[in-house]
Amino acid sequence: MMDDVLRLKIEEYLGNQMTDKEKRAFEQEIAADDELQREVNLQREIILHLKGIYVDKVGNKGSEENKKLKAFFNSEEGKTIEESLLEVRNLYKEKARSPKFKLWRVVAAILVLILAIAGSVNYLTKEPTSLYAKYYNNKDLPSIIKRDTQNQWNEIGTLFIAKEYENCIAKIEGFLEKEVTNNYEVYLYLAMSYTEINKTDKGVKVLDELLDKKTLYENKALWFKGLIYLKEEEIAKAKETFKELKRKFPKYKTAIIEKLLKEL
Amino acid sequence: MKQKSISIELNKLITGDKEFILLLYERLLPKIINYVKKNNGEQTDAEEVFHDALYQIIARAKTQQIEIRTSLEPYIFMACKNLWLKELNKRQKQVRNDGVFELKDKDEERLEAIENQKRWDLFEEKINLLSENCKQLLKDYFDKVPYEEIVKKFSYSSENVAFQRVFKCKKKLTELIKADNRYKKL
Repeated sequence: MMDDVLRLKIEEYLGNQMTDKEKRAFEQEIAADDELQREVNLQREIILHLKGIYVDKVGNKGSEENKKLKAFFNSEEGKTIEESLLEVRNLYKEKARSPKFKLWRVVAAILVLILAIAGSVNYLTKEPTSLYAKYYNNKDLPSIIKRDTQNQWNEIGTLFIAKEYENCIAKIEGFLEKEVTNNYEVYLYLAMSYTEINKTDKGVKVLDELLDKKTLYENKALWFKGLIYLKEEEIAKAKETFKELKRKFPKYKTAIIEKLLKEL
Repeated sequence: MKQKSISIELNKLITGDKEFILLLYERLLPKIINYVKKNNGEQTDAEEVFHDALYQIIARAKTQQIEIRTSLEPYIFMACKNLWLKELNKRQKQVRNDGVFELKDKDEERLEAIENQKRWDLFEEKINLLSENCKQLLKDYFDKVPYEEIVKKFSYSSENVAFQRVFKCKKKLTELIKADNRYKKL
C-alpha cells in the first residue's frame, strides 16, 4: 500500500522538483522496486491524461480479448463491415461534391448572417430592464484566462471584457463547431454574449444545454438564466429559476437571491 | 433514458445502419477534418481516422463489452483525436529515426490503438466517478488556471489548501483506477 509520503515524493519527481542528487537516488529506488515503478508509471500516465496528452503505450498484446479482436479483423464479418463502412464513406464524398449539398451550406451561412444583422438592429432599439442591469455583473462569470499567455480562452475573455460580443460569439461558436470541449465556462460566456446583444432566447438555450451537462457551473447557469428572464421581463420564469437555484444551491448568493425575490 | 438512447445509436452503428452512419459522416467528419488539418494533417488523413474509429468501435462491440457513458458523437470525436495523435507519434518517430522504423501490419496497429483507447476510456470513466468539485479542480489545475483563480473559484483559504485538495483528488483517482480489474489487464 502506497503511503502519502511516497506519493508526495513521486509528485516531486514527476514535477521536476527534485535536485539532481535526489533525482538520482529516487531513480535507483524505482529501479529496485517493481511496485514503485508501476506506481510512478501510473502517476505519469494520469498526469498526461489530465493534461490532455495522448499516451501511446503497448499493452498486453497476447490477451484473450486481443486474440478475439484479431480473429474478428480477419473474419468474413469483419471484412464485410469494413467494406460497408467504405461504401458509406464514398457515398458521403459523392453527396458532399453535389451542387445541392453545397447550395444548402451557402443558404445556411446566409441565414446565419441575416439573423446576426437582425440581432444587431434589435440591440440598437431595446434597453435592458432595470433589475437585470442592477444584478448582472460580469465578474460573476468564472475566469476563462489560463496560465498560458497565448491561447484561445484568453482571447475569448479579452473580447468579452472589451464588449465585443459578436466577435466573442463567433469565436466560441467557431470553436464549438469544430471541437467538443469540457471547458464548460465558455457556455456561460456564450450565453451572456447573446444576452448582451438581446438574443436572449439563444442565451437561455445555451444555458439549458449547459444545465443538461450537470457541471460545476449549474448554480451559475441558473443564476444567469434567471437574469436573462429578468431582462426579458418574464417575471414568473425568473422567479421560478431563482427559486430553483435557492433550493438546489442554498449557499449560493443567498442574501442577494432573497433580496431579488422580494423585489420581484 | 440517456444511456438507452446511446445504446440505440451504438446498435445502429454496430448493425451497419447505412443511413445512420451517413448521418454521422455529415455531422462529425467536418469537425474531424478541421481538427486534423489544424494538427499537421490533411483531409484524407481525417477520413482515414474517422473510418478507423468507426471500425474500432464496431470491432470492440462485436468481440467484447464496450460501454459508452457519454453521447456517441463526442465519444467518436475523442476516438478520432486519439487515433490522429497516435498517427502523429508514429510519423514523428519515423522522422527521428531517419525513415527507419518498425513496420507493423494493420492488425497490430489496430490492436494497439484499441488498447490505448481502452486505457483512455478507463481513465475517463474513473475521472467521471470523482465529485464535480474534484473533476473541475483537476481540470483547472492541469489546464494551468492561475492559482489565485483556483483559490477564489473553489473558496479555498490558501494556495496550500488548493494543492492539498489536488493531491487528494489525484489520490482518489489513482485508487479508483487501480481497483478496477481492467487496469490489471491493460
